[in-house]
This record gives sequence, C-alpha cells and structure tokens, in this order.
Amino acid sequence: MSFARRKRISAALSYAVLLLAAFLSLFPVFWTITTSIKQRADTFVLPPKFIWFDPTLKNYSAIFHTRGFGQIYLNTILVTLGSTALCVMLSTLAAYALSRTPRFVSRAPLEISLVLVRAIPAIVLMVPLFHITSQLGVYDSRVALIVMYATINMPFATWLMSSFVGQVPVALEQSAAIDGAGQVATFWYVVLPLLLPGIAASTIFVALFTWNEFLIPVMLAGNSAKTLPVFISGFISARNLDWGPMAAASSLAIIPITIVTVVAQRALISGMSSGALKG
Amino acid sequence: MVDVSLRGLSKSFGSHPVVHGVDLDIQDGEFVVLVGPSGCGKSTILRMVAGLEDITAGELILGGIMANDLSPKDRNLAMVFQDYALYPNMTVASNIGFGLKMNKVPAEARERRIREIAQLLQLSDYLERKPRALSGGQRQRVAMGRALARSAQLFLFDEPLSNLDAQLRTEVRTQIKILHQKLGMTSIFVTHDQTEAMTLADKIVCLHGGKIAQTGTPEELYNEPKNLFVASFIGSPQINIIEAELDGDILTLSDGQTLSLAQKPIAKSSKRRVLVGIRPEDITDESRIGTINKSKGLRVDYLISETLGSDTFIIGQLGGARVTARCAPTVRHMPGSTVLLHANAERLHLFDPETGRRM
Amino acid sequence: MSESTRRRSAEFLVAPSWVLLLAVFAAPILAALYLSFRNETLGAFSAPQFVGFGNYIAALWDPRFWDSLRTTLTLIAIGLLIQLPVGVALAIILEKNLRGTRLFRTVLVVPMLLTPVAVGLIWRFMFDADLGVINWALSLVGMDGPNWLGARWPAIAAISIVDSWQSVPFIMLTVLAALANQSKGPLEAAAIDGATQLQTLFYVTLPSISNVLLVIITIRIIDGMKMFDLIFIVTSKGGPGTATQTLGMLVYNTGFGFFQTSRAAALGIVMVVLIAPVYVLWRKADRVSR
Repeated sequence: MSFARRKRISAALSYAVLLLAAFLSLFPVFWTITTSIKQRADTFVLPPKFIWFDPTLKNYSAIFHTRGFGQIYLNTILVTLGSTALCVMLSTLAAYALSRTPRFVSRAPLEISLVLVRAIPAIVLMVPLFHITSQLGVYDSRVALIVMYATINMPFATWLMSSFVGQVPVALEQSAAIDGAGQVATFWYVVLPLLLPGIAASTIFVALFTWNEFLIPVMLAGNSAKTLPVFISGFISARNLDWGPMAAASSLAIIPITIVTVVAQRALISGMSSGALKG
Repeated sequence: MVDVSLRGLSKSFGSHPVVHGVDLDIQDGEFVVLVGPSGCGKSTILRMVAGLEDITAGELILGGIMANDLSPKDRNLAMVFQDYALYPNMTVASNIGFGLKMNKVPAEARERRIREIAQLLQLSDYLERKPRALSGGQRQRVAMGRALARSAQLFLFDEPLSNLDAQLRTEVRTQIKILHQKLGMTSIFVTHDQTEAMTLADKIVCLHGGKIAQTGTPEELYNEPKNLFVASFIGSPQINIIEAELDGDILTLSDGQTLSLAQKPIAKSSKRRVLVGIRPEDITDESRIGTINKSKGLRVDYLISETLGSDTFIIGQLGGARVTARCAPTVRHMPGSTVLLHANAERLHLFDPETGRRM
Repeated sequence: MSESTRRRSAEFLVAPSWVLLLAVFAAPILAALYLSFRNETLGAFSAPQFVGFGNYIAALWDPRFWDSLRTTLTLIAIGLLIQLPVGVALAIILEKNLRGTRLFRTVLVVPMLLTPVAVGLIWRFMFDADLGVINWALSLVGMDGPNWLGARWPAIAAISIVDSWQSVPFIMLTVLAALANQSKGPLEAAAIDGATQLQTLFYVTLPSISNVLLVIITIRIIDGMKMFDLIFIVTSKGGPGTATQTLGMLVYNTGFGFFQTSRAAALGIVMVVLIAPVYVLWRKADRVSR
C-alpha cells in the first residue's frame, strides 16, 4: 500500500470515529431538547419520532407555572454568580501568592488543604455541615450555598489561576517596583490585566461547576434556597416519569451551558489545556 | 545623580554564597560596567543595588544614604531588563509614562515628558502601539525610554543588548554611549561581553567567582591585567598564555626557544617557572615588524589562519601552547610550515603560575 | 521588596481562602471525627454518648459496607477500562489536526459540562426498558435489550455508560494537552527510523505521556469514590434495592435516609482512609508530570 493511500485511509477512519463520537456526545442533548417540545403522546411512541412531530411549548409552560420555579431559577443564578465571583477572587489572590512566593508559613498547609478538598468526597462533610448550618441558622440559605460552593471549587480555580500567574514574567513586576509602583499598584496595573484571560477561563469553569452542583443543595437546601438540579431531580419517580416536563426542566439547565460552551470555547479549551490537569 | 558605594556587599542563596564582599565606589555621572562569565555574581550585585534581592551582608549606600532596607520604589533608580520587561498590556506611551504615573506626576507633565523621550529615542511614531507590534530594536528603545523618563538618580542595565542580533547590538551600544555623553547619568551596566565592557565603560569591574578580579579603566584592564583571569577574559582574540622559565631577563620556552624581557624584573630570585601572556597584536610576522619593538624571532608551527580583511590571525603552536598572532592580511603560509614571529618584548605579561597574579 | 515583606503579603493574600477552608472544610472534618465516636441519631430519645470505635466496628461488620465498596470499585474499574482507551484514542485523532476537526474539540467537550442531574435523567429515559430509545435501537439490529435499570449488572453497565459519556472528554482534553506539550523531536526521529504509526504510538507517544495517564487514573479513581449525582438519579439512589449502592450513596442513605448521623460520619472517615493511598499516588504522579 502506498504511503499516500495509507494516509488517506487513516484520515477517513479518523473522521468516521470523530463523527460517531460527536453523534454520541450530542444525541442525548438533541433528545432532551426535542422531548421537551413534544406532545405527551409523541414522547411514548415506538419507533420514536426524531424530527416529524408536532412541536409544543406546553411542557415549558407547565414548568414555568410550577409553584416556586421562578424562585428556583433565580436562586440558581444568584448562587452561581455569587459563589463564582467569590471563588475566582479568592483563588486569584491565593494563586498569586502561591506561584510568586516560594516560601511562607501557611504555604504547605494551604497546598495540602486544597488537595484534600479535591480528594475527600464532599458527602463526608455533609452530615457535619448539616448540623453546623442548622446551628448557625443558615441552613437552606443562599449565602451558605455560595460559601460552600466557592470552597469546593477553590482547588480547581487556584490551580488554574496559578498556571496563568506562572506565565506572567516576574521581570514585569520587578520593573514595576523599580518604576515606583507599590505591591498593590503592581498587582492592579501590571499583573491583573495580564491575568484576565485566566480569570475568564476560571470564571466559566467555576460557574459551570456551580450551576451543575447537586450534592450540596440536595442536602443543605430546603425550599427557599432550592436550585435547578435539585428541582430536576424531583422528577424521578418509580415508573411512568413525566418525561415532557422533565425534559423541559433539563433543557433549561443545559441550554445555557451549551450556549456558554459555544461562545466561550476558546477560553474553555485554553483553560483545560493550561493547567486543568488536576480536574 | 548620585554617588554609589558598595561596602563588603555579599549574597548567599541559602548556604550557597554567590557574592563575596564586594567593595566598589561609583562617582556621580560615571558609567560602570560589571563584566564576567556567567555565574560570577554580576547580575546578583546589580539586583541587590536595585533592591530586587536582599543583601545578605555589607552595606549599600546611595547618595550618602544607607539603602539596604529601602524597597526598590524608594531607591529612585531606573533599570533596563535583559528581556526588556515591557508591560504587554500597555502602549509604548503608557510604558514610558508608567514610572511617572506611579510617582504621581500630573498627566500634562507626563505627556510632555513622554513626547520628549520618544523624540530622543525616535519612538514618536510608535507611541500608540503595543510592545508586541514592535521589532526587537524598538522594544529595546522603549525599555531605555521607560528608564530615562523618570529622572532617576541611578541607571541599571541588566545585559540589555543580549537579545539583539550582532549588528543591532553594535548600533545600540553606540547609542547608549551617546546618550550617556549627553545626559551624564550614573550607570551600572552588566554584561558578559568584554567588548561591550571595553567600549562603554568609564570603569570596568571584572568579576570572577563572586569576587572582584580587577577594577579600573578599560585601558588599565587591558594593558595591566592584575591576574591571569582578567588577562584572558579581556581582549579578543584572547591573550596567548605560554609556559616558560625565567632566569634573569631571559625566558626559556619548553621547546628551548628564548625571549628576553625589555626590562629586568625587580625580583632577582633565581630560575623560576612563569606564565607569559602575549596579546595577539604583540606577536606578529615580518610584514608588521615595523610596528613593534623587535625581538629575536620565534619559530611557530603554523596551523591555520583566519582572515578578517583588515588583519589575518595566524594560529600556530609555540612551546606547547596554541598562539594567535595578528599579521598583515596579505600573509599566506602552507599548513605544516614553520613561521618566524616576533614578540614585542615591552608588552609581555608575566604571571605566577601558582597564584595567577601578575608579577 | 524584602523577603519578609513578601512573605507577609503572601500570608495576607491567602488569608481569605483560609477562612473558607477552615469554615467549610476543616471544621466539618473535625466534627465528623467527633461525631464518629459518638452515637448521635437524629430524633433519638436517649442522650448521645461516647462510644469509641463502636460505629467503625458496626460499619465494617455490616455486609452493606462491603457490598457498596465492591460496587464502587467495580464501577471504577469498568469506567477506566472504557474511558481510558476511548479518551486517549480521541485525543490522538484530534491531535492530528485534520482539516475541519477543530469544531469537534468543542462538540466532544459538551458532555463534560452538562448538569449531571439532567444528564442522568435523560439517560434514564433513554434506558427505559420498554419505551427507551436505546432498546429500540438495539431491536433494529435484532438485539433484545435488557431491563437496564431492573437488575444489578445491567444497571452497573448503564451507570458505567453514563459515567463514561461524561468523563471521556476530561481524559481526552488532558491527554490532548499532554500531547501538545510533548516535543516533536522523538516522533520525527521514530518516523525517520522507520517506525510504523502503531509502533510510534506504543514506543514513543504513550511512554512520553505515561505520567499524565497515571495522574488521570488517580483522578478518575478519586472521582469514582466520590460518584454521587449519577447514582442518585440513574438508579434512584442505588437501586434496584441496594444493587448499585456505592460508598457515597451508603453514607447518604445512612445519614440522610436512616438519620444515623454518627454511623454516617464513621463511614465517611473510612472513605477518607480508603482514598488516602490514591491521594499519595496522585501527588507523586502529579509531581513527576510537571
């Protein structure tokens, strides 16, 4: 077999694999969205109706008319915004310290703690956190969720930001110091502007993780701080699930993510490849 | 501008010492070059002066003030970094004006100063560009401009030419020299390139292993190197070093050939081993015989010659050592032949083989 | 800036992070330790007291613990066997940068980012024995799909599929980053030396990223130990019965299902102890890989 021919065959195979993978990746998304706009009868027919069905928005209106749904969506958005802002801010500062100061007293404990937060299953913390939040009177509150989300996402954000801080040449900061800038001015005028791409990447990731978080709110939020994933999980029942409204609720969770992914793909991919190794 | 004094300045990283008690005085307006091979501590000294490294021991005095514990921003100095360290997110104008802004110079005065500097360095057309849209030479000039904008009391240069190609390097070197002549800023310039040191410096500090090997004007270092290290570090092509035995004023090489010194050595001790240093221009062939004080000829086994156009360097073997001789560009020799060369007896450098010190 | 100033400002910069870590992480862990040595039960009548290692002994004596440990490890093993080859293969294909494949980098990442709860539900829908699209597709090729969520092994298979669907992108991206960072020299040398593509893959490419693979494996094991959302949704908290109850699920059911607070805390501590060796391996691999 000639070299050129072998190359063509291998390329054709690669495309075939990629197409199959893309189909498998997107089909569930397609299926969720189409199910969400099907009539109830069309949901349960075999063979399934993939494209030729009579679309309806009934499922969405059912969801929107669920008691408290507005509150739930608002909770999810506020908690996501709040904890993402908190997490990225703190992580940026911590990452700056970690990657610029090789020796300080709380460095090693901090690094170990971050790793432990990543490694220890959050479920272990839930029973005590349930007691603690109840005792402090913040059980089922958005503030508690914000603080907890920010903490569990801190390892990821700190590591990601560290890799971005590492790319800023130290000489720039020294130059600024010689130009007469103090530590705060150096950080504000020189370092921070260069970290913006990293901050964008971490913000997107942390926001996604937060938006998706389920374990914490299912245990530590009741009705008033309930978030979307918890709401969606409410659709499980033994048999005969309410597929249409469930798909509509799921779509409301995943459509924003899909949009963000497409819009911010550059930041996402670069973020993943530049230090998200630790997941 | 300001006088600078280093008193026993030392630096250790952990238990590893890199600078051992350096003493140095720099007068107002002087251009001092720290030169030495990599790892000699020259950059560390500069960074201690800048305040970027803590001083382990000794004192740094800037304009009469003990400056050891001043932060860089309080030392009122300017620095040009090796890779320029331009702020990538700022335009050329903001880069030049950053120091002024940090020192609370009002916007108008700042603008004026930026324009002045840009004019001085031919950057006027690039003021709104970002550093990444500039060529290497332009970036270098912005770095210079940023340092010059603030009338700092002391200028530090950390190998600022090493990222330029050979031709540009010579050009910028001249430019720096002209600027210094015009502005008279007190400067400390670090380089590993002895040519830069020779051409720029009022005073050269040659460093070796964290210690000063010799301080002096370029001429002093070139003509009267205090030790073997300075002799071989300064000068290009390198000085020839040949082992010999000294008896009275007669030097006997290992192959039996002899050379006589122009003046009798002060030490009258009997026979002893020495190292003879002869700069390439002080050993030449018949063609340039007129230019030097003629000595008895030396037979050199010819190896190869390197032509530069203005000169040809003959490389051969003499008394067990390889020697380079600067000759007229017209010479031609056959490989394997023997060439008769003459050394300038007045310009022989003798070194103690044990201590490496000049005798 | 002097060294001591710099250290002081570093402490200052990490201080806010410490506040959160202490409040949300350190305090609960210590509380869990404390609780694990007592016999707290929500709504119990008697006053709780110190019971030493009682909870630990009871937890380890309980066959449900060993069942859930076995389930967890099975899921991890099956998951790795599927995800690692698929993720590496996709990364290698994407790394070739064939024309028009940039878009796939984005498309293939999508599953990783979607809400696990929503994903779990939709797969559950697709796995439905009678009306699910998966069994319908299998019937097209003449296969009789199992009652996926009705028995232990099909349910484990279903969970593994969903878990892999969400996790392959992570492996793919990580390997892709590692491949992009590897130096091209050895690859070209191997090509000149006459190695086939497959030989190059096994003798040059994979060895050069072996540490990254090790990091991925340890991370996937850690994530497998933590797996919660998918089980909660896909098999309704570990069903049928307790057939797919993982360790995390067992802690949940003990603490929030049966309200045995102290027992749940002890189980949690046991989980931490089980993860410890993986953690050590992870740190080691991670240090080498950078």
